[in-house]
Amino acid sequence: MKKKKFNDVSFILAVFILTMILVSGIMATFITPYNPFQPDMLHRLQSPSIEHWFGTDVLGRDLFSRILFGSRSTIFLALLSSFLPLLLGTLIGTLAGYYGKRIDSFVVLLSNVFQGIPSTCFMIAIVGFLGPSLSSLLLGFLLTSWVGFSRIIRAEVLKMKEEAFVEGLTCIGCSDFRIVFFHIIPNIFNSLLVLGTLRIGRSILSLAGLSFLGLGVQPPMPDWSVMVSDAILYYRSYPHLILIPGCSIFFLVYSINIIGETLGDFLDVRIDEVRKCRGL
Amino acid sequence: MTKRMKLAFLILFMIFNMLFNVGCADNKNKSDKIPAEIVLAAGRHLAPGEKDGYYCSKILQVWEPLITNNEISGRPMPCLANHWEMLEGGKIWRFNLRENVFFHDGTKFNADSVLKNFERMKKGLKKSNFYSMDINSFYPGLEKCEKIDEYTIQLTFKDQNVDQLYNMMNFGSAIYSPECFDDDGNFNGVAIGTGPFKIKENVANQYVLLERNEQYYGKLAKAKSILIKNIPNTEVRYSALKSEEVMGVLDLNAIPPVLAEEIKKDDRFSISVSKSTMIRFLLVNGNKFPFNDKRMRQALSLIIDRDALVNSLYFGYAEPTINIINYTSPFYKKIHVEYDSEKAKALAKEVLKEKRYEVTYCIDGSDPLQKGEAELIAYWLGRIGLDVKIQTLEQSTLIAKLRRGEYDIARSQQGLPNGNPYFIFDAFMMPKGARNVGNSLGYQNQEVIKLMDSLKQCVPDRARQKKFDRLQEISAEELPVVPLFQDMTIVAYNKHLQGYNAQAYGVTLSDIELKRGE
Amino acid sequence: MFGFIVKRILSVIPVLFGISFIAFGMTFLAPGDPAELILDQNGNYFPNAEQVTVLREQLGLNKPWYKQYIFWLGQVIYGDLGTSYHTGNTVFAELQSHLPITLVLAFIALVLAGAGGIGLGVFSVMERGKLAERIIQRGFDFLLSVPIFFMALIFILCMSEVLQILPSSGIKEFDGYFLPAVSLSLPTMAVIGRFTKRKLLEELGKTYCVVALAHGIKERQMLFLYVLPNAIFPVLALLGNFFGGVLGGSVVIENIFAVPGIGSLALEAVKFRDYPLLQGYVLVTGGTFVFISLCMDLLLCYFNPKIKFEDHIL
Repeated sequence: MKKKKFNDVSFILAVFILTMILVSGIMATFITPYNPFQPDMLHRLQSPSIEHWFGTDVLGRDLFSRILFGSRSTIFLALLSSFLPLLLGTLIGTLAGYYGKRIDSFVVLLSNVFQGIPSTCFMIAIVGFLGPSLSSLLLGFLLTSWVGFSRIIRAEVLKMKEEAFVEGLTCIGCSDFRIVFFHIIPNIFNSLLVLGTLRIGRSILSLAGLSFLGLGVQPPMPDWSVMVSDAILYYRSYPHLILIPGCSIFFLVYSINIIGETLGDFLDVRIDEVRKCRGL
Repeated sequence: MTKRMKLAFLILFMIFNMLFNVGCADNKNKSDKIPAEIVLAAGRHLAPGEKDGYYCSKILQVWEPLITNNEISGRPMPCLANHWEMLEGGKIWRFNLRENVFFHDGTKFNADSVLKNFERMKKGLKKSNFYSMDINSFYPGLEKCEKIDEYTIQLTFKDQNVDQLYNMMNFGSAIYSPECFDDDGNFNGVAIGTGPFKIKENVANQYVLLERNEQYYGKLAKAKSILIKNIPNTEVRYSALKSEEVMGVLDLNAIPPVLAEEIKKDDRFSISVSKSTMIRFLLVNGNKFPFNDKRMRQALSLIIDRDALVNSLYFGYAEPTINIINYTSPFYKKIHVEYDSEKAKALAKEVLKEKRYEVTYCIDGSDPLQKGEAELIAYWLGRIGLDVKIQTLEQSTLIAKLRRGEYDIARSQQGLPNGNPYFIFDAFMMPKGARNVGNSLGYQNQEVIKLMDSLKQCVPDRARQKKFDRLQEISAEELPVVPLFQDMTIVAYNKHLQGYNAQAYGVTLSDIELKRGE
Repeated sequence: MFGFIVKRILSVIPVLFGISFIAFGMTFLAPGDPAELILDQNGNYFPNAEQVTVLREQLGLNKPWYKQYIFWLGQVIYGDLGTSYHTGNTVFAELQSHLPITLVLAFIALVLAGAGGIGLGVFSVMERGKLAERIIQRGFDFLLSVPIFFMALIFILCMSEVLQILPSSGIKEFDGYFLPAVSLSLPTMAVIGRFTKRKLLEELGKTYCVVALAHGIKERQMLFLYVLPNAIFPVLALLGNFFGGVLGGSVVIENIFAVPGIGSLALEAVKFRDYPLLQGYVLVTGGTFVFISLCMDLLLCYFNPKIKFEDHIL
């Protein structure tokens, strides 16, 4: 389709980093040098060294092993917690935007209701119901964040609906389903991608705040964002405890964002023309 | 539309600039703005105000009790009551009140004011951020409270009440000027007490400004005014201290152990440590297998290396214990803490019989130190055949689960409100005790019931001590709960201050002053 | 159009009803007894059963849940929001003392995020291909990858501890609002910046832009007068989301900067299962959301008259 020159260094770097993280997560059990759950009182709070590449934490556990293990849950949760609400939000937003009238009003009503409920309150109730676990977390995320997506998608679809080509398609007898799935969504796919990738970063970071409510990964399973929030009090005396998981999160989110951005540029059906008029 | 848009952008840009400039206004003259001589910070607002049963914490030294605690021995010490007598084996208590004491509003302190305070307490339970003001727990079975003369009052109880002094210590006998109560017994304005400080200004959740009481009957406070800010976030409080925005931190969890170690490295600051009345322990569900078996509880206690725990997570700012009574109590008996992993494994094998068993360990998710503890303990328990599932919960959910007994192990703490062990034994080891029931401990022991009964009539100190000793021994052996360690109060201050010392409850507020020549 | 506006405003009522009912249900279903939680505030005092029962009766908690909700509804219609369980003040007083603070913070954050985000987005399109754009792009990516609380703590470290030009916490002086507002706005500023840029680029690819350029209209003029209004649609939706979210109060920021806003009020209400306070909070934020969403839809209309909102009956 388009001939984009892949001389974008940051994109290649980003893909490389992401692949590394994914692979290390999958292979974690085979490549960790130490048991990430085993405390070692004699070697607590050590800075990075030859024996412990990333140092040790407050209980003497090897930080490198914990980071490797932690990448699993972090990535898994990050992807699911943005993918699921995105899916639901897109569905509802598209329906609302495209069909308008009663469905739109109902959806707006629903959006207002869901957005008005304080998310903490919601999460606590879910934990009370289902018990602390990963599924409660995902359900909580789903129910509290679908609205954000749906509103934006609705705005996009509303705009798109008035485009000439939609009218044209209706005229030639194209069914609603086809219009929505094969024409409208590909055009807003761009926004979806941007929103989705941005959301991943934010979810990872907000995971830590939720773990204190009992949602998400339960100890002693390591999780990067939890490791960051646990290390806050130590950052002046033992900065490696927060810098290392913090940087890991940073690299993960950064590479996802870059990939999302570049793919967005690449797949965008419109931007090509702009590239032709350089110097704008 | 286009011109409108340009205008809109321009306005936005201007607002942006304005805000930016205002925000970066140089704060050089901030010292002029501080209305107090000394500024301190605490992790919670120490003067919750009119809706609180006490209005403010005893730490602020605004109100004084009839009886307080001796900081060193833990025994009752006179405060507003300077002499007392126990009659009829504890059914009658007579108190002599200090003379020539005035409230901050100038009214005289005498028997009438004390009686009015009792009337207020009778009006009903008053909730508080500190300790609930409940006349039934501070004065159990109180029948009459009467004035004998201007400076003597007499309390008559239904049953013998040997421990009354302990019940009345500190929060049990807070005295305020009757003028500051309304008809319902709530505060109608700022609390008026007899202490070395009075409240000049109190802004909810932000700060409270104290001023020296120049009419104080005892040694005047050294500082003319003290402002105590409320900074709930530990890290930010530390920043405020280091940037010299505040000169000291106080109250519970003023500075966590790791930051105390950090601030010691800075020459400008110093820390002060003292014993705290808080004990941290593990609750065990005695109504369910495996902890309904005493041997399993003992195995749990034996496999925990308390020294390692205290050194790793608390940097040594805590003392391991197996005794449910805190070391600030005058009746405390030091009991040897055992750590024996072989014995623990053997005991566990007897109960679990070679099988592994899964247990739930509930903690308060907002405390990272509890998490570290849980991970450590879970690892150790894995060695004796227990597979631990840790659940981090929100505080209120945790409390509900404890009541319903939906747990096997949980982490909790208990502060000692006064030096009397009776309260603790009653709550934890008596069948209807508040914690025994509220936390589903399921503990029952006939010897304990008999000892507690006999304590009600037992008057001589030595006999009481022996009974308390026996109760402590039982608690260490039967382990209705598994104590981990006793806390220490840590506070930090700028070296420009002197007289800043930690106490079991609070700091020596009236001794604090700026160093000469500052 | 007017009918549409009226219908939307009237839709506040079912929304508020829905939110308050769900909020009530949530706290009810979540385990925890408010009476017990009030009496045992620090884990230091363990109330016995009688004390709890007495308090429950006082607060009306022993009635079945639907009766409690209906009772509350009845009160609200007369304008009485009830009394908070755990502080004893009226819900109205609590909201009154906390809401203005959050409003100010939210407004400042909104302006910063909106003006900054859109401005930077436009700027990076104008400077496309040059170094400045790349720096801004990396800046955005960076901001999006750092947790808010970490950023806030770093700010405090720099501004208060090291440079000592801003207060680390509290809002005694007006400049106490600045750091929290900036910390709140930065991530969203980055999101809006990126999104704006993408939307602008999308619009620029359309035929009318090429035609306009061919006609000799200057690029900058075209950008501001024609492209931006078309592209700004979903960006405004995003801003609306953000404002709504921030208006509910950010618990993390309020905790770090000791700002007594309604975020911490709500958190406390949930912690103590303080139903009246929680529902009061929910009413206020719910009402605001409806209002904001209405404003957003109106703005959408203003910028793009092609969109039609029909005057239908709900």
